[in-house]
Amino acid sequence: MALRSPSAAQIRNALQVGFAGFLAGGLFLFAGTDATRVDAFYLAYGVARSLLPTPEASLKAARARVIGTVFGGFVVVLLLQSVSNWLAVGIGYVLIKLVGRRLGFDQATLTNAVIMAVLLVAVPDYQAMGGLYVLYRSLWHLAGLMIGMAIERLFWFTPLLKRLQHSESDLIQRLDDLLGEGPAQRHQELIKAYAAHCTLRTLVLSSDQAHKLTTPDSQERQEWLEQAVRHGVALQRVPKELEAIDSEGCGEALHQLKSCGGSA
Amino acid sequence: MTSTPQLALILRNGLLLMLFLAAVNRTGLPEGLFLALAILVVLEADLGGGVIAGRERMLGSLMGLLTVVITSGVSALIPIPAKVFGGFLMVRLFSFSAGLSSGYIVGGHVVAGSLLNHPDDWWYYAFWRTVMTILGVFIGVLLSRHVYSQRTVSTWRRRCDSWIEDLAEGLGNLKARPDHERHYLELRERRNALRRALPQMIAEQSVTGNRLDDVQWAQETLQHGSSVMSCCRDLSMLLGLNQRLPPELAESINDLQTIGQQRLHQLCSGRPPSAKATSLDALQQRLQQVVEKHLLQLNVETGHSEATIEPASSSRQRQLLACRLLLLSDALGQLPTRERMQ
Repeated sequence: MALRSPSAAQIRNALQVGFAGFLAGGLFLFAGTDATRVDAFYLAYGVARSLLPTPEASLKAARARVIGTVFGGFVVVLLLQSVSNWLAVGIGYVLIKLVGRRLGFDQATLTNAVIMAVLLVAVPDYQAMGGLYVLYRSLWHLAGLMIGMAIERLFWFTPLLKRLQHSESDLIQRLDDLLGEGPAQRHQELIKAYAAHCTLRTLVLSSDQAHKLTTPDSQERQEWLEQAVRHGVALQRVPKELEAIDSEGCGEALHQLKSCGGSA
Repeated sequence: MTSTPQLALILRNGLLLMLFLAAVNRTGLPEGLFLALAILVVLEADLGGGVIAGRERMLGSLMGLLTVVITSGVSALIPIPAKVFGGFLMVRLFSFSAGLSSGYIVGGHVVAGSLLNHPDDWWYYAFWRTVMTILGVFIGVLLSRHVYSQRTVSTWRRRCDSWIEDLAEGLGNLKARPDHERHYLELRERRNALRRALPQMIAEQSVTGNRLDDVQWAQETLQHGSSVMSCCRDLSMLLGLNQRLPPELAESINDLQTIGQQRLHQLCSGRPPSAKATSLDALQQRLQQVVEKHLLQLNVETGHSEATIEPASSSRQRQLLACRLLLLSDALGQLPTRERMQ
């Protein structure tokens, strides 16, 4: 396992999660000795699960944790009324998977549901609490996840559209480097960066900022970027004697892109 | 995955989870619950995905244990919020340094559980939780490999075959595709999905002990398949410009389409190359000559006869057409055969 230095973004993320944990710890202390009785430590579990690489990932994970916990708890609490414990895990697992898929839950939600089922059956105290445990666990997790997501938006928050603009600038820089015989790049990295850019663009298009990307200027901008990337990738694949064609194509597309109005 | 294997997989996991939970309860293993959870995390994905998930969980737990030792061991006088701050900060930094992409979550849980739920017996909790997790991951990988094993490589191969079949279809219809842009964007998405699954293949090979041929084959297929895809996309656009091609060039393009399609189909079926497929080398040589004669020579005569390209088509388009034809024939020739797969 090779160790690497954390990036600036990762250090910021660690500080954010540390601060969110500090608030959760303070709230836990404030709740007093009764907090342990109602499983308030799950507040910090929620914080630990938040502040993922992007706000969208954090929201998705939060949704999966809370919905999965409630769903899994509901299934197993009902099951425990009629089946003795170990059998309940097996049957509960199968039921959660089959019913959950039918309900359209994703893999992360179903995994959280199964974890809930395992905890309810394997820990006698939790089993004794039944539905109350499901309630405490869900609510404290929800509170912790909300603290995490609030901190995410309060410090060093970059709006989605801004991230798309950064991603576009990064791609332009890569292509400029490629044309200017800058640092050697592999076309796989360019493809990967452009795929991430397209994913980000899809997210913006499904957000309330979509209108900024649907203007003719913005669409033209995207088309030139696509052209530039395609020529940039091809430039690294074609035989040396034919490189000039894609080099010119890439340069011209970049020139048009830079003189284009609209938003990334 | 079809519905029957999915159901079989669910039944396998349900049964194993039940047996292991009963076993850890019966044997009274300390924090044995985490052994069952680690097994579950590994079994939830296919073998390659399970190896990655297990490694993240294992290393994340170790980072959590290290952090708990530091934060709880420093001083009992430090207030809880400050401990949690330090703990969460450190566990993320350690995890990032170790290159984890999700393991810091479970590391954070080890810290939270130790500091808030087990402040008096944190060592017992954190230590045994980590040990049980490591044990669970090893058992999980073993089970995933030997009990109704779901291999990443098999799924990947199926998806790759379907992608190559559609590439072949695209290659056969270069001119006749009004929706070619949407078609190629969809093919590109599928290529990206295949590319994202490569780490699982690499992880799977690290436990199956197979030679690295599968991964290398996959990488080469993606690389040259991507070239075929982007060439077909460009050629669809260029050939759709209604330019009249010299018969010699048009014939070579037709041959390239036919032989290229055969080669792609042959790659999917795994059959040995047919006599026609092996003629790709000869075609490449002929194409090179034809392209040089009709598209790359600067003194191409325009307007003389039907054997020349229309004057309206710019020099750049001619060169681009030449470039993509040569790149396509080269990529088709370089696509690796299935014989190298295990």
